[in-house]
Amino acid sequence: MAGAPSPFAVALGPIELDFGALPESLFQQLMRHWLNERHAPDILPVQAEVLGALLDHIRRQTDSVQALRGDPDSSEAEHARIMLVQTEVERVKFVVRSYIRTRLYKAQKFSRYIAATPKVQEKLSQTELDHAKRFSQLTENHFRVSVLQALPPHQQGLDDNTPFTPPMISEPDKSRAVFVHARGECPPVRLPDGTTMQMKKGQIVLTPYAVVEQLLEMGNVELI
Amino acid sequence: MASAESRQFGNLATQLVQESRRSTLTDTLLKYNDSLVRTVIREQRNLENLINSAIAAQADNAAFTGDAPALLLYQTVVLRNKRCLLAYHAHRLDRLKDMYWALGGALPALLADNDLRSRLSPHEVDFLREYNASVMDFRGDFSAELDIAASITHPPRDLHALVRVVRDCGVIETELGTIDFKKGQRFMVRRADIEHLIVQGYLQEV
Amino acid sequence: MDDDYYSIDSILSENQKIQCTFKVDIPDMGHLDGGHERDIKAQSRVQLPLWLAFILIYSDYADFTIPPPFNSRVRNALNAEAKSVKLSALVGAGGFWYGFGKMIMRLLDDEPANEMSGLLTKSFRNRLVEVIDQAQHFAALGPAGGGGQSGDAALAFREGLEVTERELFLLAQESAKRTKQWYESTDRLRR
Repeated sequence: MAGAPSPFAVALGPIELDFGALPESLFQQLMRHWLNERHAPDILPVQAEVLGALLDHIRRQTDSVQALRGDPDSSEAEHARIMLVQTEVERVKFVVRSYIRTRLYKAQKFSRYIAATPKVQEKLSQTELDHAKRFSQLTENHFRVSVLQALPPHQQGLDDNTPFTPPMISEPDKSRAVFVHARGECPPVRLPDGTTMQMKKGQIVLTPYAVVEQLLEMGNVELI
Repeated sequence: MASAESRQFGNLATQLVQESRRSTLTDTLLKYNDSLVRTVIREQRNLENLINSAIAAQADNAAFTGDAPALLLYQTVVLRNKRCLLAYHAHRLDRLKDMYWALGGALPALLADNDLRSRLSPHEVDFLREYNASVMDFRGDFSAELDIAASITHPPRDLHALVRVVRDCGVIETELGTIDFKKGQRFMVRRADIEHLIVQGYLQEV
Repeated sequence: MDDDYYSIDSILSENQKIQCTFKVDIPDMGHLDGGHERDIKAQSRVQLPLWLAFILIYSDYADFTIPPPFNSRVRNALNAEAKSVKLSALVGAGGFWYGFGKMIMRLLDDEPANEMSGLLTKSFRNRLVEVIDQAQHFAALGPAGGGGQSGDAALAFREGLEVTERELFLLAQESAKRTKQWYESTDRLRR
């Protein structure tokens, strides 16, 4: 794509193979968000830009490979390059896929909570939100036809809040412990016992997720 | 028959939840226990009658007759039973979702397994169909770039795999062109092209 | 343990029973714990499952006693040498000691609750080191590894693990095994 600025690589001849400069910084970003997502008990804000850019990258690489493969004049060396590009693309696809699926799992787990809480909905992509809402209705409906419909009217609620019992609408458990790594200097945060904690660059702590939720969103820390 | 035992409220509901635990421990989905579910629901109706009687009795007699704690007890058992009923059903849905994704999101393959099918309630089959419909839509938003239902447990190692055809799968489009996979034959193919066929049991990696 | 409404483990753990003493009469409920009396009388002592006990105690219809797995004898033993206590003997083979303790805390006032919290975390910390240590040792030697005097003490410790610790042990063991396999497989590739 002559002229268009790209975080990736330089055009190589008429058909571009970006393989020389892997979008490492972009891919590394995704890896970080992916690991954060896997470790966090709550669903995190969707990283639409990074995801979008990598999906574009995948599409372009795949198209380029197709084009090159279809070219009967391509050389031995170019075939080797094709293999390498394909390998890289599979790597990227794996992480993208896992990132999407991890979020999907959480969107399902907390679907009723998401459907009922607009503020949380902002963290999901439209695709994810559509599925979460559908899944929420699907689940409620299943409970209704399998159990609730047959119970006496007073017992049919799906929204009970009983003492000593968790709420019927599952919420993320932000008190769950996570391992946190400080990527740089961090602002101080409050611990459950009232004291403050200020992480230094490189420091690793084990702490309830709620303590570092803001730091994570701002990118000061990552979960490991 | 233990009438004293059957009046130990909450026991039947516990049995349901224990089936869920057994299911997890043996990594199988047990047959939907329709009769136990119905029995617990019957217990709920009996409890509702007892609650109504207790409320009526309390209204008649303003003094503390001991009905208030009885009322609380009944109500607590009702809520406990309800929680067990819903958890039993929710647990089964979780297992079904796991099985669905383990097959790469291939609903026909899942439902074609008669052994499994016989263990599901009709409502569960409906759930699977609607779930699949929603997942298909979700999947569609990414299908130009990648299949989000492919494996997320095995990172890609080799690009290619040597496979043997276990069941005929007909003509499949691969990067090498179209291949007619006939039982007994072996092929070296790109992993990404045929991974779903391995997951569904048509091909076996050699 | 996931404290979720739909969590099977959470529900089953609330079936654990504690000793309660009723403060009121409740007619016609004598069957509650499988007893043969028709009525519950005040002062009667009954073993009740936690899911029922919570609300009765909270509503002041019953009192409870600290269950045996957390009595003063156990506390003293844990404070002295946490690794020497067989927690599985206290709560049974498939039993949760830490989970049970966490649930009991809901019934306690601030001070005893803090004390219980301290007991749980301190015991866990002290025992965890040994759990992980043994798990990795076993990963290296395989199931037949570890004999002799230290082997017996180690075996006794493992037998005394309650469910949460046992799960951690198995996870650590599996993890160590896989790490080893990975090292060996990548070594092979280099040759």
